[in-house]
Amino acid sequence: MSLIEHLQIHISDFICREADLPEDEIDLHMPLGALGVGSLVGTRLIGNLEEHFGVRLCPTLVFEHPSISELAEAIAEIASQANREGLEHV
Amino acid sequence: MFDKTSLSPQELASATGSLAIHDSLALRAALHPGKVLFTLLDDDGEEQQRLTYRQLLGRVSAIARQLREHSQPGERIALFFPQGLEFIATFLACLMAGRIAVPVNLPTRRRVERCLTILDDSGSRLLLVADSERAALQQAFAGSAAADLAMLSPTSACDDDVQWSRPDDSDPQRIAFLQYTSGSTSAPKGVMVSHANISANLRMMRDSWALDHTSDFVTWQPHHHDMGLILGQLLPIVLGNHTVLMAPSTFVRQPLIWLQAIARYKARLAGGPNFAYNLAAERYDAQRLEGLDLSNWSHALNGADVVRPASLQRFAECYGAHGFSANAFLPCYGLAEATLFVSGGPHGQPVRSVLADPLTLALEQRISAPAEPAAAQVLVGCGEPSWEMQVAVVDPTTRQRCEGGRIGELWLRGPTIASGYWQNPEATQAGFRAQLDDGSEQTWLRSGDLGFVEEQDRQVYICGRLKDLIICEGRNLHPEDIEHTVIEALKDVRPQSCAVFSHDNDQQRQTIVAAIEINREIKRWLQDNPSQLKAAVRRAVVDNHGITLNRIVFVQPTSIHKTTSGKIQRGKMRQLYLAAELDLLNEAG
Repeated sequence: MSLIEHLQIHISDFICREADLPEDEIDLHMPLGALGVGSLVGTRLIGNLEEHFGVRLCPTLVFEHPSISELAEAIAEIASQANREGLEHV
Repeated sequence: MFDKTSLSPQELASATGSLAIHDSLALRAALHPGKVLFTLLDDDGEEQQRLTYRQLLGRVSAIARQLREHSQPGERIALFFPQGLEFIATFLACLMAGRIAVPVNLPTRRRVERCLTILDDSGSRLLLVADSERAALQQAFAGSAAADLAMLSPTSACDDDVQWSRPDDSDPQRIAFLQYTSGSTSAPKGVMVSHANISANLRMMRDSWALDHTSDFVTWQPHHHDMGLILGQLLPIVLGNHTVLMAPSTFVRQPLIWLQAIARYKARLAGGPNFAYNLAAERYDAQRLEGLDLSNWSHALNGADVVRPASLQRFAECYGAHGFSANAFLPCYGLAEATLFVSGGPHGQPVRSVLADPLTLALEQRISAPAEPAAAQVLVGCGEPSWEMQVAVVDPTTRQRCEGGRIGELWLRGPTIASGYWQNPEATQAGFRAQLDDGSEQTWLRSGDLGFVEEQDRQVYICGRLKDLIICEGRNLHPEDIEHTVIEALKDVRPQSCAVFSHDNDQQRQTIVAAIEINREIKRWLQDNPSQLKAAVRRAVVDNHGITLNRIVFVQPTSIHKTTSGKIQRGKMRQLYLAAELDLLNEAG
């Protein structure tokens, strides 16, 4: 599974669980606001992703990349960049 | 100090328990000027700023001088600040200068309307704002009545030569600040909290929980919330302790930073609404928390929302290995109309609970032994009331006290009950001047909360709300506001009616439901594209109220129950929904 797919599943599961939405109402391309994700759930999501994927993220990321698929892409990009920089330091 | 060379510990306690809060600060600044009062942590939990007792007093004194130049005594001053140490200096400056402080949550897109109604209701003409917020505020208020109000940033000066003087004999009953937590968006209500109310409430918390200058705090609650302000930022001054502050968003993003701060600063008191314990348990990470020592944490407050036994248990299981004692849990009860604190403690004892039969509770408003132990509803005791507070359990229709075991509305009397709502005599009369049907002239505060006081353990138990208020993450939401938003969001398809209510799911979590009545147009939309309607509704609700609408159901015309006067019967709707007796539209069809 690619990192992007992994992220998509992780974010979908988080929203489904934490925003307590029926599974069939999660849509990868829908704006997060339309899924009822506000600043509280959004900030928690950022914290959860930081923890899970070992990256430092800006809390505004959820508003800049407003759907699950866009967010997953953005974080995959940040993670691979962090990885490259990490390698350079070695 | 006063006309003495020194104060005994008892004298100091009685002075700080009765002086106006800014005078308590002045007293402590004279006694221990160099002691650090507040430490502010940044997003990563690193120290960003510190303020000693003397420095805070110096800031307060300088800002008070500035306020005297720019405003009149008794004028309402709206305060717009992010979490930080500038707020508390400005708030206390208002009190010192005899102005009425009005703390307001910073406007985001969804909160502009609420800010505007608060500014209008309070009649604030001067806004004290943090420099960092000025541009955003100007943008938010552009084109509104608030655009013309004067905006001032507090001076950064600090008077370092403030001499101790005996407090003047200003009336302790004068209003110190307006706490806007009650009322719907369209009709906000500002609780008028007096200097005497504040002193009494701080004294009650200190004494009920046996706190002193060694009881250090870690707090992340926002200062526009009564718990964040009164408990988080004013109680430290009365105690003479050291308090560590962080932003709510830091806690929500990384709850472990909160726990690490509690350990690092050996804090005795920290807490929040119930969800704080859920977040902290969810993020538990044994590896990252190796060596974390929570054994000093003796007062783990849990208030402002329903206290859930499952949350306490989960948290204690995670953090027991780090020295956290389940006896530290301190569920408490309070409300802005009583300044903040009503009941809580005694501390250091196991949390009390009562097992109730859920059916008798719901249908007869009575506590009885559960018919089936497996289905018992666990109610958590929210502490014993302060000795200064009287709690009566009252049937609001007969205005008579309820017999043992019966649930009623909690009515309160004591020195911390505010004098009413700002410029709202009707709501004040109804809420603050209730009288029992016993011929007595005494007046009581109607809390609107349903509950009882258990005869044996004397704990206050909360069972629900008289009105359909929804409490979410420590915030009070009015269902009629959310229903209005739902109808507005769907105005192109003109829904007739909508009912919003909440219930607890099987994991002791709150589910918020909107039932929307369909018409021909909605039916057509639902057949073509059901997700689009739900998306529009969820977006509008999260934008306007900051909460997720968990379930959206569509019901047949006229299946929303109303009283003869047209009021939505949300309790009835909840009952039908849970019993699966609502006439739902089959979306798949």
